[in-house]
Amino acid sequence: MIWKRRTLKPLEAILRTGFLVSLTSYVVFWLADVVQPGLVSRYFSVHIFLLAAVVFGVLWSMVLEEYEQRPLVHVLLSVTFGVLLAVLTWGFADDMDVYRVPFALLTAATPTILYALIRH
Amino acid sequence: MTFLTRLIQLLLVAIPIAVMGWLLNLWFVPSGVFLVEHEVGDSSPFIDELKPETRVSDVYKNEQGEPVQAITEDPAFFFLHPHREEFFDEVVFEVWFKNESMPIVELGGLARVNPETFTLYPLHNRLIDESSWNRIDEDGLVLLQREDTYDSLADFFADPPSRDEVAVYRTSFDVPYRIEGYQPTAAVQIIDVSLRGHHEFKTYIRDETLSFTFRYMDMNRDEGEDVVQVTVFNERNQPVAEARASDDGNTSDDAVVDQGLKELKLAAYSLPEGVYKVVMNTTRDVFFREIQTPQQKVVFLNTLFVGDEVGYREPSEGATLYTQSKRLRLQTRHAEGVQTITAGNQTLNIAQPYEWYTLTFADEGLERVVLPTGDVEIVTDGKFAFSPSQYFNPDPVSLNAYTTIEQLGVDYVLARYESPRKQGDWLVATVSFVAWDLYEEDETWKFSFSTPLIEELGAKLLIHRIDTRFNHY
Repeated sequence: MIWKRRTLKPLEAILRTGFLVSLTSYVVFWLADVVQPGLVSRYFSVHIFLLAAVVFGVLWSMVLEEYEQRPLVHVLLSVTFGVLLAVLTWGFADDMDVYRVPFALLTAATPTILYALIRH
Repeated sequence: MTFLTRLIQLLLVAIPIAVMGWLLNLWFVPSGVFLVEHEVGDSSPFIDELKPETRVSDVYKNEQGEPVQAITEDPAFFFLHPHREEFFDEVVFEVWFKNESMPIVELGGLARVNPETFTLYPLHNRLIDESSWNRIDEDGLVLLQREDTYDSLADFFADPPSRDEVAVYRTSFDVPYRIEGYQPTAAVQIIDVSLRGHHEFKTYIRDETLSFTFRYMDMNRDEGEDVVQVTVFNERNQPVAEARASDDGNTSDDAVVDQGLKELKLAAYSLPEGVYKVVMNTTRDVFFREIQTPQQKVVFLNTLFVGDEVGYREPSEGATLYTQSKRLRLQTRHAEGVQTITAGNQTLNIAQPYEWYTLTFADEGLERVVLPTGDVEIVTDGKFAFSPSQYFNPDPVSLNAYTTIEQLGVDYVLARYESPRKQGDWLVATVSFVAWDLYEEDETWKFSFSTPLIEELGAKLLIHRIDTRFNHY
């Protein structure tokens, strides 16, 4: 078998799911509120999901027994997040005239730079 | 154990999906009805608290523990923030209130700005509710009769009394107004007064051409296009003629003005006899300096903005106007507009800008009001003319807060009004607004309580709840 699935303990599996769901929900709900202002924020703060992600993340790190580095996934995530930030910045910075392009490029590079700093 | 783990994981995934489903349901409103329940003092993303703070009390609890806020001065207002204002066709308010002493309380929706114009609907009319006259309620209309003459509104409309016998409130009385012995003339009258921005007036036509020449200046004090559109409406409120002038090409706020007066001619031929309403629709940048017409009767409705004459003629010649209204409200927005107004045998000092002053008349008949300089906004529930011979009142006498039914000298009152229902100690009135009639800015609508005489009577309007239903058809 080329690939073998690692078996998680029940508590670790639950906390991991909680962390990933909270983080994904945070991004999705936040983007939904950016696309349609007030869709979420009229009823509750989208940062509730961030708080949940932090709580689940901390708890997960406490029960985590084995950590596997996945640099390719990290780089892909950094690039994707950078592109997303650049698109948002481009949309919000339409009154920045000649600074719009360098500003969008800088935000595109920011996640990758941060990731490099954290790794090294 | 695995099953329980999977169940909890499923739950964790399902929660945000369910929340998103709930949010989408709130957003798209598939039922077409969106309800916002609001007690005063509650924080809501849809409805703001009553403002300004100087005209309303703090929220307090009454003996029953219910939150209450008192309006103590006129007007108090609030803002509504619908999440999809372009989607909804109608806004319906249920207002829970107590009114012990004011004759009329109304709720208005902001329909236009510069000047601010509200479409008002009644919440409570104590003149009607406490009248001892015979009362008929049908389909949102009320008929009060001094004597028990009609059995139904259908009888009333089938065989209506003369116009002089009927007072109206928030409705119209469709018996046409006619002037006995009216003869057209070719003599041209000149209204030599600076009128700023949007105005409406009524005129009378019989065997003659409706003809008006508007001479105006585009003062370019605010940004944006200043189109002038003048529309004539017949007695059925149908447009029958229109004249239009485009902007002068200067959309900036540089206050640069073209030399001379621009001219806009309006003419409508072969109109049947009757009363016609003319709407001068434009921005506050446009100052009508002169109106020429062969029509003998011209009365302006409800609001006059006598403009300054900077860049036109110095010194300003102000205006002399005539009205039968018993109460005028006046304001200037500039120090140059501070002045002493003569009205009949009394004077009124407009002492400072941005303060509304009230002028009242006790006597019946036409009153002469002299504004020595312009730059004054005048608001009334009535009409103005610029010469006594131009004055006429084509509308039935109107029931308002400053009179009693007996003082009107009529035998009937026709009103579009539904009395508020009783709910515990509260009165609950339902008022609906058509969404397209509301002025929207930043996805916000503005509503204002109209509480005439609240200060004079030392009265309060107590508000407990304002529930809102947004409807889509």
